[in-house]
Amino acid sequence: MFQILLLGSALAGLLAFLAGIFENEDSDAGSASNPNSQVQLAPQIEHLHRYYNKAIAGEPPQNALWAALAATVAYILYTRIGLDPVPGVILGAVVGALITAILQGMYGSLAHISRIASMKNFKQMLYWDCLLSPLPLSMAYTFLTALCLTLLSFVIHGLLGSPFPVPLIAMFLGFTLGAIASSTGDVHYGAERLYQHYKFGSGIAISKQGDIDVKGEYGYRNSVDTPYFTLRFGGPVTGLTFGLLIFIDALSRISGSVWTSVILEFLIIALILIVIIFLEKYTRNRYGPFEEGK
Amino acid sequence: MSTETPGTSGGPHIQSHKLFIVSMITGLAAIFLQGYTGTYVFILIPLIWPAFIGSANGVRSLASYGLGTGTSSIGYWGTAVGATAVYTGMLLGMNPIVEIAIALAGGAITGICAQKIIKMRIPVMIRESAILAASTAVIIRFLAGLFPEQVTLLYPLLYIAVTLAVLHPYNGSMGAGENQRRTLWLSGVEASMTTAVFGLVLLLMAPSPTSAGIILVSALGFAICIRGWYRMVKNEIYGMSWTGFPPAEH
Repeated sequence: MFQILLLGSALAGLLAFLAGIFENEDSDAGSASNPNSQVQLAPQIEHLHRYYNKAIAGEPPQNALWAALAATVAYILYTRIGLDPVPGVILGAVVGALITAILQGMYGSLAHISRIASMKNFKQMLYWDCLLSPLPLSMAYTFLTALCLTLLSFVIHGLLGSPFPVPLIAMFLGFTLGAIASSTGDVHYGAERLYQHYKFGSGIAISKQGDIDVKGEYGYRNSVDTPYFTLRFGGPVTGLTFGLLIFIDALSRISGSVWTSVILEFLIIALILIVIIFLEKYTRNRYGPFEEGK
Repeated sequence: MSTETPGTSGGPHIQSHKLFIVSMITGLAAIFLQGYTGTYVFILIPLIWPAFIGSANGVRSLASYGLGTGTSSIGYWGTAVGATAVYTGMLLGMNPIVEIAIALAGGAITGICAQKIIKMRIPVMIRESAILAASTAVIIRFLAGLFPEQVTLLYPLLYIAVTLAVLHPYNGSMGAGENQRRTLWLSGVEASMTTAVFGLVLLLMAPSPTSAGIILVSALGFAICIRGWYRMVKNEIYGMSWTGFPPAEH
């Protein structure tokens, strides 16, 4: 029992780490993240761009759909095919993730074309290559995210003994991952290299908002270069956050008792909170000054 | 759907209560005829699309008050009320009309809370959230009725797939040049995509002519709606080209 829980925790942590990286890259390939609002704003302040404006929904709902669809298909196939658990689940998850990737591509293309059509007043052109170049990339990342989240749901259901059905676990994992990638990953979009000459913490003026969608190191920025950059930092940071969340949660069950697990998790959360508060205080004192909010 | 005339302004505005009445009539008819059509249940699929279109219009009416990223939240929230009412009703064995009435009331109550407690100051809040909850309840009740077994397994997917189909048309078309007709055509496209997905899930669960029929009817609806939508896009877009650089910067 102990060994199964340990194996489950390790597998869950690994899959969550990978899912975090892939989800962050998917959102950056489709600008569904922080600069999404800037892609939307950019043409309005004459920053005409060559970005793929995926705009399916917020990251949490769309990832919940990808994970729930892939996991539902995987579960149905797994129960129908009658293979052994491991090959059955993997085969089911691959088929489920494939269907999910196709659906994501359709939703993303519709959103991109329709949003550009709504930008007529600002003379934003629709460049087909801006859609067709990042589309397979974004779909591939969605495939990998859905695959990892589906396998993770089976691990949580099977090895870690969660009583909830696999599609429900997958949906909640999708919500969680979307929320984490939207808050953690999007900070590291590459804005930091673009705005290094501004005073730390001074915020970005509205007139500079669209810069992030237009100016690359050389030529125009595009939705393929962005994941190339974010894969070095934003992706792993998102993966680390989601991976740690799942791993610590899974590991806390090893004690066997529910309440010990709850207390352990509470202690870990308190510890993380204290570290974060001190880190932020240190950063503000070291790299400030900030003006007092009024 | 009477969205024939393409144009930059999108033509006359379709009022949301009219769309709601149409979607309720066709949606309830679809739910009640489900028991009598047997294998040919797929012919009822087009009857459920107006409910998608009505819900998308509800999201549009609410979100066009400048909600921006709140568009997703509106979709979540309205569908959550509808889905909860239907799931509770199905577990307790209620009549579909009672479930939809509960959803309508639940939507109105959440609308009142948003208006009076959170003070969102959106004049159409109560009406549109009631419409959104009831329309999504009709959709989910119909889709759940297509599956012979293991329906509870599909509850998460039913909820989240309908949420996306309902919030995406407006979210995907957002911008200064957005107009109702293009958004509703897009809603038709996504309604047929969603019913096709459930046809596919049914095909995997219990292969039968019914599931193949659902996919075919949905594909037909998709082909019709995407033509209508793309025609409007071509009329309204500033320009299209294979590649190039925006003139402003170069």
